[in-house]
Amino acid sequence: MRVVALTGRGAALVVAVLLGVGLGARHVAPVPDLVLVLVVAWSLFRGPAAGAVAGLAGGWVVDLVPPGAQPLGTHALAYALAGLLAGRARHEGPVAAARVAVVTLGAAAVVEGVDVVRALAVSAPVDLGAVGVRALFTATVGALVVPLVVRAERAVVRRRFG
Amino acid sequence: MRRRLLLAAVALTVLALLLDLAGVSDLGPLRRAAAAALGPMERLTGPGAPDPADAARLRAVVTGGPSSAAVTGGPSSAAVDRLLATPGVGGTRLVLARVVAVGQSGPAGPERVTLDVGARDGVEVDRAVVAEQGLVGRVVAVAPWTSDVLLVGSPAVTVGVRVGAAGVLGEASGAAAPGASAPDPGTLSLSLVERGTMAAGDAVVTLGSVGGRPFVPGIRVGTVRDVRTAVGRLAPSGTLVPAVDTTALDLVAVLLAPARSTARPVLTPTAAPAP
Repeated sequence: MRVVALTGRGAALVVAVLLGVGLGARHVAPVPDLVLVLVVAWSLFRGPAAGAVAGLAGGWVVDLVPPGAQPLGTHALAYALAGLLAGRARHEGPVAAARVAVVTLGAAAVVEGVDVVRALAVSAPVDLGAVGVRALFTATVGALVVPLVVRAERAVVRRRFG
Repeated sequence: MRRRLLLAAVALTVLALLLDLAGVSDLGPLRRAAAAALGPMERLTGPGAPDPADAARLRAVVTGGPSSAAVTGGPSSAAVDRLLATPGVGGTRLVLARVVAVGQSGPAGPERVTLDVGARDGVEVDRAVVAEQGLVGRVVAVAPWTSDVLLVGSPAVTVGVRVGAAGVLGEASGAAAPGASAPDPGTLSLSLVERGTMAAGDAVVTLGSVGGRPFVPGIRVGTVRDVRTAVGRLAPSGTLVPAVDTTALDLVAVLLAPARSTARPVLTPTAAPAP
């Protein structure tokens, strides 16, 4: 059962990346960061340590699924940090959609911030407007999708423990 | 226990990052394995990938050379003809490809895309990729069924160029030119490497790399947007607007081998006349 759940989560990460790059190839812009949404959902459900693991796995998927990113591992560390921080925002009881959106926005700021700092380090151009719009879009999608992921995780828990 | 596993995974990731940055060990096989596993899925889900007419045209071009007659027919033959008429392509073997995946956007636009052609179509690392309008980028990773392209405008791509009618030598890059500030998003930095002049509106074409790899000469890169004369520098620098809009790529071509500088005539033996 545990193996099935883990495989399901891994497959969800891969599908999220494939969906993102496929939308990009169809000239959809901005593309929301679906991997980050999944990572935030798992962080809010299970806490910082599980969030960091989810972020690490998600970042590796982002780095490896073609076209990937260079150098390998940057996104893994960035998403792990984002998952760790998002997990600190977990609390018992019902969570408001606005809170989910703010946490997702913060996580997106961490991930995009790493990319922006890397670009600034080699004095490459940075389009802060586009970065901000993308982060806000990711936060909006997060507020909509995170409850669905949490509901699916609850169903898994219920099935395991009855 | 769990915490220790997480720390080990983070340490391994940092190690992989350092190895990749330092270039001590080649992590290409890891990337290639992932691309071999997931590339075919991207080809299936990508736009226009399962079109048999396109696949046939692609094969015709690979086997028949860049003859426009070999690729006529089919829905987008006008686009193919325009692509084959791109300057710098003449006489070069090329593979037509479609963009099936666009990577996460960097701080100033997309930096990497995946094409639906790979090692099985003859694509190699460090080959130029062109679209109808001009230079798209260069191939950086090749898997059996797909290949990854680093786009012009990414900070890691630098192209030797000729500017204007005089053909002054220069360098175009996604990162800032030495001594200049970063170019605006959507433009490239341009710095001349010899004394000369350039003006806004001048055409910029590739200079060509050693051995024609990755870039062959004469591919359009863009037009000069503005010129700044930096204090204390020998040559002026500026910015250029790329000819290709990297956010709207579809049909592209990978240039496989440069044209021969002196073409050999093809001889066809005929029956000797009777004495």
